[in-house]
Amino acid sequence: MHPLPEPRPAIRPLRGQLAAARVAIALLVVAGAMVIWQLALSDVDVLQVTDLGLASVLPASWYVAVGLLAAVFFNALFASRPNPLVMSVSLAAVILVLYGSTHFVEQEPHFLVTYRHAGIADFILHTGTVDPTLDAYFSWPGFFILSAFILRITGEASLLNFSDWAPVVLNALYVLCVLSIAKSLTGNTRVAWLAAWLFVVADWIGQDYYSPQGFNLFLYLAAVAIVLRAFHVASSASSGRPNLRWLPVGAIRRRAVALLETDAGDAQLAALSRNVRVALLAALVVLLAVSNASHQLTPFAFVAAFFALVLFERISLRGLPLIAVAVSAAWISFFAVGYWSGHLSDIVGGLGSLGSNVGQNVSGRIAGSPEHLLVLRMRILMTVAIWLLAGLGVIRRLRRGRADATLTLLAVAPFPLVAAQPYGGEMMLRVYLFALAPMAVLAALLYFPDVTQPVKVWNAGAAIISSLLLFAGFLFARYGNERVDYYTPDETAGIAAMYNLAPDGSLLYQVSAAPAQYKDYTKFQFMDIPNVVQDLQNDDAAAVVASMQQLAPASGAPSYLLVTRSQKAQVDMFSGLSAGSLDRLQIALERAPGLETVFKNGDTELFELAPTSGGSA
Amino acid sequence: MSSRMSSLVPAALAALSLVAAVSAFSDMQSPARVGVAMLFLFLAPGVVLMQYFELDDLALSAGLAVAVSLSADMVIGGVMVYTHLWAPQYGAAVLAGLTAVLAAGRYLPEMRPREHAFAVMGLLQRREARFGRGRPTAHGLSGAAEAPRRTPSPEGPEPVGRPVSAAAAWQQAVAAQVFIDAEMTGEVRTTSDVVIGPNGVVNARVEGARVSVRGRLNGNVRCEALHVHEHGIVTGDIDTDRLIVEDGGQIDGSCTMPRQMADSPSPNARREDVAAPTAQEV
Repeated sequence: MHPLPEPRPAIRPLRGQLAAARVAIALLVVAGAMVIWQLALSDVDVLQVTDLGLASVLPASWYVAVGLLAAVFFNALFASRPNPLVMSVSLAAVILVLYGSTHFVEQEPHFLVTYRHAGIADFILHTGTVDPTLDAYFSWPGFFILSAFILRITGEASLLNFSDWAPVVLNALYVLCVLSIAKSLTGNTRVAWLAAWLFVVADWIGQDYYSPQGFNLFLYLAAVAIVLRAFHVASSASSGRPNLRWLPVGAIRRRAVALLETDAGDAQLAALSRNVRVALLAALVVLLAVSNASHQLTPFAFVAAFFALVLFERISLRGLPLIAVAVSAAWISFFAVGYWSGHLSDIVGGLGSLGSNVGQNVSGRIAGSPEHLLVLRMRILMTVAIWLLAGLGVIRRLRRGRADATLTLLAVAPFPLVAAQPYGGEMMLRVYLFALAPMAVLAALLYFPDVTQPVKVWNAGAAIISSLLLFAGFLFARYGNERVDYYTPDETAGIAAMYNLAPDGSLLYQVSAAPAQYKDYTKFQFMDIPNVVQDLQNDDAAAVVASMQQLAPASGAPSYLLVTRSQKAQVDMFSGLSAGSLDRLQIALERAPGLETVFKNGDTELFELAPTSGGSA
Repeated sequence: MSSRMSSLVPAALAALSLVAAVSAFSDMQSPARVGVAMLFLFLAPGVVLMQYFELDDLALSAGLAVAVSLSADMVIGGVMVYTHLWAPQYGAAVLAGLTAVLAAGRYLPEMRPREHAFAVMGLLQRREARFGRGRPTAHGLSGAAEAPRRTPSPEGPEPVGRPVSAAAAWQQAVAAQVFIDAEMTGEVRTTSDVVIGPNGVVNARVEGARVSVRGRLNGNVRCEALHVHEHGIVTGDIDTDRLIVEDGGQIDGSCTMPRQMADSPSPNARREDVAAPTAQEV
């Protein structure tokens, strides 16, 4: 029998103590940064936010806090032995700082649509039903059922009580998936953690608020992580050589096969046992079903990603796209009939209209005040930058003999969705979101093209510089709409007063949406004022009153007009009209015959259409 | 987390789930209730389930635990909504019950399925596990053991040397893998996978398909793939097609690696057959 080696050589204790001291110092710096961050936020006056967004009011100490966290993270990342504890703590702190700051400087829940989503959850909580005739949300109600379930078990009255934490929680969950995806395909600590960092500073889209799409991105990334860990060819000992028989030209096929054979070449995945793979497949099907029940778009992203992976023989589970299609078809056929039977032209109308769809997604969104235009350009720059870094990563790895085919396929798979649907002008944003995780890993590989080699100084420097540049862009891109997205106590008090004053069935006119509908979802009918831009240009209160009289409910229910601070900010930022347009119209409305102010505070005014001049037209 | 601590996790989560379910029937409002309920709804079912999977990827395990938990919440809520039986507190009770049963499965002694059914019905006294506590012997493995079917997979191991769960017993039948988490001397020769757990000290020659070492192996090893985990130690000559030595793992002996595995034509196998021992970093 051989003698057993000592597991801990004598030199280890000293090294261990030094390493522990370094970890302790790093964690102390993180704690210090968090203190500085909180002190910085106490100086922020969100009422002073300009059209440049939150960056316009953040003090220098806020940037100092972020700088310290970045220093700790990158110091750990580029150490001879990266420390996962330090990296995870510092990255968690960065997520909290980047995605949680608004919670500490704003007194009311953030972002308009959150209120509406809370209202849908409230409806389900109190009725225990879904009504697809009310809203498209009720044809994919899974997320709201989940929300109502959580509300009842926690005993909370409204999800607005914790909706502001959604971006922090969701981004932390996204990061777990990014780490797993990067690990499965590269097997390298630094690539995985740098990809996670890049994901965090590039997720400017803002779809991670309390929403079905934010939750579904997590499901999507979790499903992709399962597929790559359990069914990728790199983890399957039984996988054969790819043949790509569907490629018509032999030379192209041979070249493609050669490239695919270097895919995930650095990963060292231990094959999972059959029973674990079966269990993970079951979990995957559950995630697919849950996604189909809770969001209309994400299932198509699933199908696109799985189809691309199967087409290029990157996963052993060849029936996966069919499973995804079958689950989607089942949901649409049995639970979403109420929506698609009435909106078929909306759904398929954009199919193949690539130019029109792209136009709606890009040029159709470029409008507003000069400062807001700067923010919009920053967003385009951020998008191009992360795609460019990913592209350069692909090229640099190819030069090293590694084709990251799986990552590339996952990065490009969502793009055909743009040709299928404009999605209200938001499809490009969603495509960016679905592609962001693989793009971030590819971008990280740009700085570590040979994962088996030590880190080179210029690679590390380039990674830090580009990360900091992305961070600078993130602040403007992410929080550029902050002047519209925050709400004051006066605004929410005004909405609450409206709920008390207006009877059920009232018609509520608005220049743009207000943070209403967070409770009693069916209490009001909401309607935008027709020709509002023209009325704003001319300060034409009479035209507004005439429209209200013309559209007054036949039932005789009263009509109201709501004007809020955030609506004024929205007009200033997005409409292209001169600043203060809605202020001037508000003054004209106060003088207009036929309208009566029934509630007013600093940030809200509620007008009621006088009964004598209203009634059924 | 130490194995003693991690063994308490299922019980703690089961208790937390039951507290959350009971509090769901009350009208009490408190931060404590919110905290307990959130942990239950976001984590408990998924974490307990992930303990059965025992993936080697912490990030994936954590993410899946949350995804599975929330999916379970949504499925139960959805069934209640679409069947017009909306009563979330009862749904929470069902979910807590399922979580508790899954957690209990981690502690059940090894039994045949029929015995398990009796035990669940409360008709059978819990009996001494076949491989009783405090008897750290690799029963059935000493001397040319051939593919014993009562040991679980590397990913879902229940060690020889202490009671094995019913779920693990199911895994054994599927996976047919050898798991040793005790001291043993002799020889292990099998066509199945062999896993030496963190408490395993194997003074034996080992032959198997894939051999995974988290404890100590003193003896020559011949296999298709050898994975030496962090803190794993192999002292002996190695004859394998694929070799992974994690950071913190140790090998002491000569290593022979044939050019190519005869029965594994995958690109990955071709790629790794020339790989020197490297550290898997994540």
